[in-house]
Amino acid sequence: MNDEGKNILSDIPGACGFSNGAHGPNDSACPVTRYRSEFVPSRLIDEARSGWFPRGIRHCLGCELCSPGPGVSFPSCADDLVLEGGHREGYIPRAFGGALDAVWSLQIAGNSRQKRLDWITNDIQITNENESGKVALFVGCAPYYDALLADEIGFRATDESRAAVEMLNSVGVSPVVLPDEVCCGGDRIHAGDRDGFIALGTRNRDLLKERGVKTIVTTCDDCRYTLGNRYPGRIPGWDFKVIRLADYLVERGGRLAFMPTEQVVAIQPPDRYSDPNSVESIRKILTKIPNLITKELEPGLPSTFGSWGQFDAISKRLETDYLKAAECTLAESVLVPGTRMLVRLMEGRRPGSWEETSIKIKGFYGFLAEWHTVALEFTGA
Amino acid sequence: MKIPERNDADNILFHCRRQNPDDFPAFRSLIFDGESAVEIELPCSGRIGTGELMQGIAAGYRRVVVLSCGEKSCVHKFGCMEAKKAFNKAKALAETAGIDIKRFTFIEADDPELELK
Repeated sequence: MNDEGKNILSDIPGACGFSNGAHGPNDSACPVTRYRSEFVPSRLIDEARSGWFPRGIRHCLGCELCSPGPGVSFPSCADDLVLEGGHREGYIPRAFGGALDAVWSLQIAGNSRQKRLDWITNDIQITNENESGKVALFVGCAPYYDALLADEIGFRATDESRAAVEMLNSVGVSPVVLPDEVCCGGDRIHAGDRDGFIALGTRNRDLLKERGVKTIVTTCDDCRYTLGNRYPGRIPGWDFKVIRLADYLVERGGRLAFMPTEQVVAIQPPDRYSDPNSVESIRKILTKIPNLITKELEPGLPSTFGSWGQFDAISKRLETDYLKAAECTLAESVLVPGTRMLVRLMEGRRPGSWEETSIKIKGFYGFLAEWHTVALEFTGA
Repeated sequence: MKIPERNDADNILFHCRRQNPDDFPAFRSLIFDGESAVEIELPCSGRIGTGELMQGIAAGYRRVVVLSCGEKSCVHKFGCMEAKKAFNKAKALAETAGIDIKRFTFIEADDPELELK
């Protein structure tokens, strides 16, 4: 209830484009409904319209597969509902048993200087710490994934960040990489922690403005989604262009070239979450690798597994589905273009585990950096 | 596990229920230097998680200490090893977050070098 005693929850669906009579979310496309029969997006919208807090809405992955059309987003509605009434569910989802939540609290307090740039070596170039630059690479929580998981999963998430800087360098950009960058806050929304989310967003905004950044490039689709869709309207003065690295590379064109390889790789077809502007950049870039055979997973799989707080048996089954679909393509490896999604898949199928998969899981940007060569002109089209 | 808010206590101590911190007076004076500590008893030190240790730091405790049985003397066999794993992860996370890792202390009760009893 707001100050006037009016139920705010009932207004949220209408404000998100789900007014009475309008098209509701497409339930049959929801990957969560497949396993969690009580999770039906259109029913959750109806519950909110009636002024109820739609229980279980936190299970929404945010994948946008059910959103009916441009400008109408079920995940955006879910975010608003969780922020408004999430406390009513009586629990707070935690990331890694609260370990990452504690890190975010420390980041918000801002009393300590993070050590998050250890992965930067002399052979890649970033903008010096005291200089400004137009383009920033948002690294997100990758250094923390390294600390938590690298030994167990045999993969360092910052390898993707490193590959990203290498690819940016190859198109003539030395990105700003913030030494004090903080988490994007996507998980804070999921936890219903509006204050935490705004504190993190405001800090990122201030740090980026200080360095004169105009464009933010991300290697993580979840960070891109939060910075590009959740910050505007919630973080005052947030006016940056947010773009994922693959799109940025296509946009910049020129000077990208690759060595030939006869590998067979699988990718996920673009959808509204991973490719909101229909750039199809991943397909376009991979066609520039000579002799590479690219196969695509069946459409309809989510491009995100949600926040860390949603790490449960159902999300595990979604990950398994994803990998089974990848295996069905008979490719040698599946290229995953999002850092968190990559870490989730690696974490679920760690080397030596009984669930180890026959298909290799690789980061898309790491793969590009592996086959990238200094070169000729590339039109990007 | 809910980590108590830091009120008057400066430190937080997680200990296996088979280890009584009062049996280690020297340890207490050496580690805490006379400061007070909130004590949290665990059924086994292996039940401690990275999250609880990090939340101890985030709650503002000066030191986070784990008092565990030794690797060879743990009746649950892997308790000490699990506790060490969580502890090392917490240290790595804290280091990335810019926290002084000296704020973390792990004590193995049967450590021959721990002549504090």
